Amino acid sequence: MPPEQLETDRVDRALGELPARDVDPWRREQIRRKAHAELRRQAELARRPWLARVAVAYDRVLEPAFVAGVSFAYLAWAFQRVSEILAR
Amino acid sequence: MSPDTEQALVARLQRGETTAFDEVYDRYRPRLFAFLARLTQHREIAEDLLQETWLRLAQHAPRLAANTCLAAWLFTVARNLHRSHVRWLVVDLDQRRWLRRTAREGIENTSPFDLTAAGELERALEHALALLPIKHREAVLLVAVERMEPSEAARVLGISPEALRQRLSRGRVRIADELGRRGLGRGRVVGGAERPKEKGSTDAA
Repeated sequence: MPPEQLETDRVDRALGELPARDVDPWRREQIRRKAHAELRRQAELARRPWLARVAVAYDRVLEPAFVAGVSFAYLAWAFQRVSEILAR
Repeated sequence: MSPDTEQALVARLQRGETTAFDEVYDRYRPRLFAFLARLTQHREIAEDLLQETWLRLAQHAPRLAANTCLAAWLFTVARNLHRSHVRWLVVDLDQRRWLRRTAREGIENTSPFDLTAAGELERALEHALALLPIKHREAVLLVAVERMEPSEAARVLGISPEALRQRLSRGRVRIADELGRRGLGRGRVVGGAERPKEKGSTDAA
């Protein structure tokens, strides 16, 4: 076996023995709680397909449309006000 | 984990069983965290990406394929989240300033595990990993540190096996060079333990 191969094998072996590490216990439990809540929410949605469809419709259609509508109304109002002030 | 056990675990995850989640979480969390911390070189960012990875698993649990390999799935998500994070770093002005400052202060290439490393060799390996370019580092981490099959690691990284082989080879050479530079070259990195130098050996890698 060429010396370079031997060296990379040794490096590999040493790397393989690097220990895994963990997050702090507090953070570990925080992540677990959040994931449990999400898992239960998803399971609930999976049990009630109509609820999942409503959630998807809200996330993809209703909420963006509402935000866009409010933003457009505010911009139109601001534009109108500025125009009125400049016209005086 | 045997394929049967894994499939049973996936089926329980699909049903939303929190005990199944806990089994997966306890099994893979330390490995995923070590992978992310070594990839990001930043403990807090690694914790955030770790949380996001587990939330993604919870979100996608009902739609997991029955034959899902959980390790590959989790490492793929973690790696993709890290890529998105790196892209965001490039466009975010404050983050760019932070990167420049850390580079100036000389802490850019220190591993988050440098301070807790048990011995000289472990510290040197962590440092050598931190010096690798990200694409080489992720290949080395998956195959050499996590002991993932090269074909599986190539799928996780979304590259061909040949490209993975090249990245691995370059990464290993750079690590060996760095170890050599620190006087931990040939004859000292054996079985993860530090041995006294053999007679006639040189430190050059």
